[in-house]
Amino acid sequence: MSGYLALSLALFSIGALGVVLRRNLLVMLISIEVMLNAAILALVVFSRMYGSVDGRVMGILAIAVAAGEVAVGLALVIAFVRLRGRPDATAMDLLKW
Amino acid sequence: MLEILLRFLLVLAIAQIPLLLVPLLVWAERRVSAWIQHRSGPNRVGPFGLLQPVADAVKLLFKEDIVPERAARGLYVLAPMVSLFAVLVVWAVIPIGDRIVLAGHELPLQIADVSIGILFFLALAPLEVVALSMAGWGSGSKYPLLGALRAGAQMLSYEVVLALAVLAVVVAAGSLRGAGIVENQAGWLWGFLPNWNLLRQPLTALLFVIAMVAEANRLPFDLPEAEPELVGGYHTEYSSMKFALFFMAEYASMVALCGLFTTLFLGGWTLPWTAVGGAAPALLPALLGVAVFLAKVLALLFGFIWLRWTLPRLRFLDLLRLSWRQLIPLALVNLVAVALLSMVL
Amino acid sequence: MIVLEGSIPAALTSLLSVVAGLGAIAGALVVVTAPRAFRAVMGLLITVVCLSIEYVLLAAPVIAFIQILVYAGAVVVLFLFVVMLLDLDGSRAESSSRGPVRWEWAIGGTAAFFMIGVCGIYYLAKLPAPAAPAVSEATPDGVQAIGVTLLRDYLVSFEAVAVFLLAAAVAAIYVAHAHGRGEKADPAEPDPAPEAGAAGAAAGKEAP
Repeated sequence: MSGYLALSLALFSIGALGVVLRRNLLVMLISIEVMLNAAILALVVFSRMYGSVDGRVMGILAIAVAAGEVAVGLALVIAFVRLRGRPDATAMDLLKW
Repeated sequence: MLEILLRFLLVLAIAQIPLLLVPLLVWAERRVSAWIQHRSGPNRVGPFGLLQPVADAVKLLFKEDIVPERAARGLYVLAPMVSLFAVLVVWAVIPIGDRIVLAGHELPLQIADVSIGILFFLALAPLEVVALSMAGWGSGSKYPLLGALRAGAQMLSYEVVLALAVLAVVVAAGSLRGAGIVENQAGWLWGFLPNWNLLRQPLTALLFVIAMVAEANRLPFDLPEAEPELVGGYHTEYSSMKFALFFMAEYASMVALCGLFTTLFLGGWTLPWTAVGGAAPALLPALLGVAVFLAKVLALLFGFIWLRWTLPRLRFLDLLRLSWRQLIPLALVNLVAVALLSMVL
Repeated sequence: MIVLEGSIPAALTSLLSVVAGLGAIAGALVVVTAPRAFRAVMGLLITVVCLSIEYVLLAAPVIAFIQILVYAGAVVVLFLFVVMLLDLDGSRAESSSRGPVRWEWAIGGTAAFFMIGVCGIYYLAKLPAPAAPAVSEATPDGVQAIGVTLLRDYLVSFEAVAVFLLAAAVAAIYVAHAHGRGEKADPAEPDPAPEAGAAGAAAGKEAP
């Protein structure tokens, strides 16, 4: 079981690194998805460990929320690309003086 | 040990169904379309031209295998494989018959009687969209990309309709297992009609049929490969066996969808007014049940071909509008109505 | 879950779980290091499919297939759509200061995160082990248990998610729509994900 937790941890770390290091908004969004997947894996593992269904139910809810999050996030990326012409997080500098 | 061997043989046997039906379907499509248009159709190779698909396959095998210069090689090679995989693996959860007893072992005529069979199908269907996107992008060319975009939008839109229609059946049957849904359709409606979901939920069946045709990319919904507009759609750049894989995947998806329709709406392997497919695990009725199942699938496939030569193609915007503005609200209302009714009854 | 489950040797399943786990990590690494957005999406697809294999091995097939349905079917396709429609790839994608992550950075950073986490797991392992009556969804009751729990104990969350999905669909269409620019936004583009998500959530509850 702790092997699965280690996997979840590794995925979360990689995803977090992606968000921190990459500058492409789309790739950042995908990295967030990887982090979410790691969290869902942890939920399922704990549900298995403690022999209750709750973790899986929360996983299902988390997946549904992730779908909505992607829709809104991608819409924001599209709007930003319309504004600036490229999906680059460093181009988000209107408030930076 | 013997049981594992028997199951292995069963898996092999069921896997042959789509693989055998696909060449037959290719032949039938050409013959039936010729019949509808008062032509002769292929009739040179073998009796009634039955060996024509074999000749076609040999021809495709010897064609040059081209990878375009600007293609993303990995995606380009992988796409047809994913496409065929997604439609073949659906057969794992379609029950083709009742259980039989062979050498003392009870054997359900289904590869995997999982508790979530229908969910399995719903999960695998969208993989087809991913495969087409991979092909469209991997080809590195304009028309495949346009075809893939169209395919993605169309299949996603109708996926929702398909899922909502399937859910209505699942709610009424109270089971996610294919065999459970078939067993739920045993008995009689008003004493003399078969208790099929087709008759119990005609609106659901209609929604499913429309979504099914769109999902299989068939006329009148064959926008992704509309040849007058897009050369060939997502598989424009493909040749040789890779093209053949796409071709097979397209027909195999029709076969799989017909198998699913038979399971969900036509009572699967049972034949009303007879003892075929009865509850007894005897060998002969069970095998007859498999024949009944196949006959139903073949009849549906004929319907597919008939539809192709009867209806003209829709415009793309009309296609999406039909799904999002009409079919999805209708399917939602239908789902709620079915849920309420099955709670009351 | 799988009919033959009892006769598959345990060594095989643990081997499969290790392979799937490595596949998931490889997919995540592809996401982080991919020079082009399309390849990053493919990395996400690999991760998602490998994780769903893990879920099946963890005796949670329902969540495995909902995962494929929503992630591979809606999320990945949505990403592909945006990549293909906006042409976010190539030279324009990451023009400024930093390019894609370099391998040494990725490995080093992950290792650092990982070490911290391993300490956490070590701490966790010292907790009293939970008495684990392994529920499995292999029996039909497993699906039923999820449905009942979802609609009884988590009813408020379930409804909240429903409202959230509707709000997200409306918001996505509103934000992505090109206001007063004469450009026509693709009507089918932003909304499939929430719909499919709703279908996925609904599929979870179908066990009356």
